[in-house]
Amino acid sequence: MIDALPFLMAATLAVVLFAGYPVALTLAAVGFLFFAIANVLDLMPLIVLFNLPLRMYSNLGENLIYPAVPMLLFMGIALERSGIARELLTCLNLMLRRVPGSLAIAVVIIGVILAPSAGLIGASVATLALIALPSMLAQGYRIPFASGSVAAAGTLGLIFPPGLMLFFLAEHLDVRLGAMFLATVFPGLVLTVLYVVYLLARSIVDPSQAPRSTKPEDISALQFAVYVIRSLALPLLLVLLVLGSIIAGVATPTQSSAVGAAGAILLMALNRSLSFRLFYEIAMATAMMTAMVFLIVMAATVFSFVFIYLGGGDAVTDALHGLGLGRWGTLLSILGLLLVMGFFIDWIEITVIVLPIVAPALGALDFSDYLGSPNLSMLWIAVLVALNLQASFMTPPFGFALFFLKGAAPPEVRLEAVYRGVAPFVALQVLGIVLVLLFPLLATWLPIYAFGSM
Amino acid sequence: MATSRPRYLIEKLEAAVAWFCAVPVVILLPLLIGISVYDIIGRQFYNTGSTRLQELEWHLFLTLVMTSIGYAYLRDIHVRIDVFRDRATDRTKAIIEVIGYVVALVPFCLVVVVYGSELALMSFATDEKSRAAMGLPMRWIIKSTLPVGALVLLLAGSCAFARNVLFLLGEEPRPAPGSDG
Repeated sequence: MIDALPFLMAATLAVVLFAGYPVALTLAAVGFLFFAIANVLDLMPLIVLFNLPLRMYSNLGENLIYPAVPMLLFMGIALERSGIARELLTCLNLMLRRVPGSLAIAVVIIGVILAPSAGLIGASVATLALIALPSMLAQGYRIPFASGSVAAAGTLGLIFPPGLMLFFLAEHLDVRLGAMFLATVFPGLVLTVLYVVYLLARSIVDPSQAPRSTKPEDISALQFAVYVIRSLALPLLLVLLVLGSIIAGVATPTQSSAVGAAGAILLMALNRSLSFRLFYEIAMATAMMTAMVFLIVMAATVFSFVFIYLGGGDAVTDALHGLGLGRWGTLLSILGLLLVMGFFIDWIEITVIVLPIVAPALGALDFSDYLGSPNLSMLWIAVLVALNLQASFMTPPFGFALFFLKGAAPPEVRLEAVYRGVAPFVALQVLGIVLVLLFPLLATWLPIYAFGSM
Repeated sequence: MATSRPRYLIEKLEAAVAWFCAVPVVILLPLLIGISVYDIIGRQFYNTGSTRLQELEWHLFLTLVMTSIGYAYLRDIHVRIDVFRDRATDRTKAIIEVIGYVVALVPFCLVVVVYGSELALMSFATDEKSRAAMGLPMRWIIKSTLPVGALVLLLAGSCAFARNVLFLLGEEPRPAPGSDG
């Protein structure tokens, strides 16, 4: 009975979440319910609840990295609301106009540039859909092709530094954040290249999928240069500054996100869109998203505290071990579990709830001989988890991003069309994961190069 | 329908929750950005010690979170798994919200308010300081943001609870919280 409690707890959560009450509070409620049961069974005295605020405080406070989160969110929201992101897309499309499928390729590039700071997968996909889908459809792009590339581009940003998901993955899998950032660079680039090659090939083979962009009205070369600098070069410079300073190790994530936020304000001033009204809107949107993320972190403390107290961590490790799948089987089955979970919930719940539960099991998998050292082994696993979650968000029929895309898209975009459009990207994504499984150096080369041996 | 007395009170409380979030956010967020930028410049060019600044950064961050969670509930920002909720009637939604208030929101807030206050009081009584030699004093200030934030969340939840009860009695047009509220 007592041994079954942790499993009962996980099962209860899985069911109750679907009632549609805020996830954070549902987590806390399930935690309290099982605390009450354990209390009746004399397993947990009331006084242990005193630990909860202490844990919440030490989870959220005294943390040098979390302050980066609101500033990154601020940067992403500012670039979106001030119209800078839209300008960026228009400009990229104009520059790539001789390339087949230019608008779709521009969307993928924007996804890489902007999504890391847009925070939640739903937000970044919805933003891209709002900015890009109407112009793609107006230009005569086929609906599946257009919506597939938007969904893929929106999820791609998740795994590029300084993506918020990477903060949480690094935190919960006990990997250095800097190493985590570097490790996803090459796998992310490989995926980007795969996406772009697919878009190009498809547009060349079947030009009706993506009609060429119309010629812009004549403007002088000088005017065009000014336009490109203002709408493309400056935002690009800003994002590169944020990324570069983290990767080069010049600045901590908090510092470079501060540069990003301050730079976004500067860009808004140059763009003449800066006003108190807009600033207030962006600040409030930032605060709301930050509150949402960290209430989940706080409330998950209740759940995981009770779960671990009841022996849940060991139980999961033992159960996985008991399956006798070997290390590869165990790794793949955990990845599979995360893939399925990603159909229903965003990465924030997965990293905060599920990862702490499976982290000991993942930590016990020793791929040192395959990777070279235990640290590299964990880093590689963390990258696989990241890629796997990204794949999960765009896999039909449940993929999380697809619903958000549908929600933000014009009404003529049907869900079936989105499914058809995104399928090739899911295949490319699986190819990317297999590549990282077979060639771990894709993930570990850059961190090794930057930090020496790990 | 004239604004009834309970409704008037609910609206006043909701406005208070909104102000309690908006004012700190407009001040704290620019301050956080400004201090972090100052920290970089100071460290690169003047070699200032930045332990205090870095501690200030997470102080601001935690305060930002705790002042925003209540209002975020009123605005219906906190994520839900809405696969089934989308298809539920308004009545079902209101009932789930009422049950959730009783079994989830109230216990959560009470634990954080009660034990969180104790934690902050202990910190005050022992004059707890940063463990770093150059760190900030007076940890009780930041520790007391937890119970305060939870109290505001409780207030916001109670407003939505009251609205949902009124809705179930047929005196409100829609269940709360609504994203347009």
